[in-house]
Amino acid sequence: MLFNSIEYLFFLPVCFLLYWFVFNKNKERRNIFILSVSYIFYAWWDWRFLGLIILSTLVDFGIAREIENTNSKNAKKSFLYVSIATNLSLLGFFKYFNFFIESWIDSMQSLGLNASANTLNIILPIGISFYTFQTLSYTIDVYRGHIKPSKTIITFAAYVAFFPQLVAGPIERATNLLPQFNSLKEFDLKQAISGIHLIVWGLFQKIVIADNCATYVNAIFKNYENLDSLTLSLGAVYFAFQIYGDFAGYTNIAIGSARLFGFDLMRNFNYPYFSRDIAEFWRRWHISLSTWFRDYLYIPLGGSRGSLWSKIRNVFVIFLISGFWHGANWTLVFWGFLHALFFMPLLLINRNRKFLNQVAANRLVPNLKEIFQIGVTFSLVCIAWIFFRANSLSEAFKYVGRIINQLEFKITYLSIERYNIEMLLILLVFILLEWTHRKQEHPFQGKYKWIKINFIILMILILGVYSNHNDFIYFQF
Amino acid sequence: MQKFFKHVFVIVLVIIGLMFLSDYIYSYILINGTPRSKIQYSLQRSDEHFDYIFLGSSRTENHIQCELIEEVTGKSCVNFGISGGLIGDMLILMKVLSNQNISYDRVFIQVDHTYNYTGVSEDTKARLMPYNYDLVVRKELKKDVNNIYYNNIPFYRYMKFDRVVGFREVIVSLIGKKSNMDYSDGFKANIGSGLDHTGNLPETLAVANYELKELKNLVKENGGTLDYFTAPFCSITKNRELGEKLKKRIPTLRSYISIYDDREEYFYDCAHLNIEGATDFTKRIIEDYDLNSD
Repeated sequence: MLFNSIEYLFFLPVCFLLYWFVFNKNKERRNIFILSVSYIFYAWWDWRFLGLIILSTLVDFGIAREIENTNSKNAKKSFLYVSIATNLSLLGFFKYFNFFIESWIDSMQSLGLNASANTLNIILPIGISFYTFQTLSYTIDVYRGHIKPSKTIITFAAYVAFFPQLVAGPIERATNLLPQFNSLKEFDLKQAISGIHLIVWGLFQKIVIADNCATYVNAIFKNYENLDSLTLSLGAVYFAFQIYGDFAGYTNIAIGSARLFGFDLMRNFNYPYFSRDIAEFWRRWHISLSTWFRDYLYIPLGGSRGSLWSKIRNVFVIFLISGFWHGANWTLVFWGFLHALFFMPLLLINRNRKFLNQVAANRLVPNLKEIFQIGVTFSLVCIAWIFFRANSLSEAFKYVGRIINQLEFKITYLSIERYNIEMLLILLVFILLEWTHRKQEHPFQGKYKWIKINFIILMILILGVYSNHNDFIYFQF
Repeated sequence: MQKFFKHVFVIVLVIIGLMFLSDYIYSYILINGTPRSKIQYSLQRSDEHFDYIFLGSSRTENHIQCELIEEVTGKSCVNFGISGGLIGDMLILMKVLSNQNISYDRVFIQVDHTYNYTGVSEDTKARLMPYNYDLVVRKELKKDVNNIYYNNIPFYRYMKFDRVVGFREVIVSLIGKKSNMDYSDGFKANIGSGLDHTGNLPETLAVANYELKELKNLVKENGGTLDYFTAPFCSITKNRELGEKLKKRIPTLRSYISIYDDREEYFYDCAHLNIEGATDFTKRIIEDYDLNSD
């Protein structure tokens, strides 16, 4: 079930009413209810893959208890390895099996050797990358002693399958979300209203920003061989806003939906395109994933301690794996590699933690230096997005090549829903809204709250894309 | 909880209010604005007479020069060919014309692979959306399974067909931007030449097309006559024998499918003539159908 579907429009209010008015007596019944509706939510897409979530849940629930119950350090470690192996095997088979087979055949053939093997017709179960990471982090946290294992399977299963964040995150930590299932929640007006506002804002990001950009992006990337520099550059910029609007929009609807049930999910985006360098970008983009990698991979590898070479190695490992996590394609691995490259100068001059504060914190307008820094960072991110969006590495290089070689600066007319000028104006409004509210999580606050709500709803109605139903990009990861 | 429900209620009210308001504004602008499509143009006409009306897809729109016909014959002529148009589109257009008291003597319809399709194209359906108060249009739109939503959810019709009658169209109508086509003539010229392959004709033909029969009856009821023709396709198009198959279904049809096999320079692409080809083709139509002596 998609957040931007008619089904969800009915599903969410029905769940809300049942949750607060029928299952309001004890937390066990509530957790059973949450688990049931979460499984319905997932089964709406494909019920057969519920088995995978249940398997992952049972394995990590059992292993965490065994880790807690045993005193032997070696046994604890063995149990942890079983959890890691199980989760990564699931992920590896469903997401990467064909990729490895095909890559092996390609490499053999490039060496002039005859190789053939059968690939399998594997469907990628939606959300597998998210919930396997979530269950993994739980087991690791239990192993590290950061959290006590869940006492009941229902509570743990509800934590894993909690429908707002099941299919595309945020990748929640057990330390934050699991304890929230252990109390009988009281309705909190402020939290619920902020939830509604986040849902409206998320819908705007998805239906107006992402889906409008998508029509341009699809047309430009499909015909890139015939387009000029400016149009191709715009294609990369539009994709930057498409993927941001899509994923941040999804996340805001997820966080907003969770708040309606009294749950607080972690923030996943913090105005990433106002970052002044790549390091800051990664502190603001897909926060739940980047902090996951930081806590469970980067730091165990040594993090920023040790020799310069080990630091460099760790950065490359994190970014390459991050790219690979997004999907079984060399374009995504290269996208990670590019970000590692962009990060290197900051690491080498030890300035990767320079920008920890808000840009232009007490000013309405950034200064020239900040504008330049934001512009450079955004340009680098856009270059990397070309590789993320392209169908193959050679296509991405040709695309970049044409931007450099075809120095024609006219915007090609594309016969789609919006004029370029219309699209650029929509983006300008979006950027201004984000900039003026960059200290808040959404714009619907302050004196003019209702004017802004009216304006955004009007934009959703008249500028939203409804002719094609667009899935969320991150569902495929 | 009460305060929360009140807050949600206000947001829902805002949404409903904006939907009603937007629907009213869009309808008003699209109905009263400068015509930007042949559907809009025909719905804004009434009490007129045309001697010749040409119907069809882009293969009529790009091929029949009414200005030339009027010049040669001295008769009034309009080209209602619509790019991507189906026979169903032509039928609804002719119903609208009849309803608006527009009379005619001779109607020409281009038939080829369109014979295999029934129903109204999405583009035409979208153009009809603002006119759901019109009885003919209303009846036509009722055939769409989603019509219940178009009729009962304000603004839904414009959200769904945003590509054609959405924000962009409303703004250009509002500022009075004219279409680059003269609808009183209806011809759209293709400039340049080439034989880009745009697709092949189908191998088989439908047993019948009830919309074509309905169109024939409608024209007859209004005192007109209906003539059928096919427009040229370039020589590399597969299954061009479709013209002969069509003749078996419609004996009075004139097939022009292969007339320009030795005149490649007349083609804009494999399915469309350029302006030079269109001029020659229109002259042939005038001659073959004896329009000069009508």
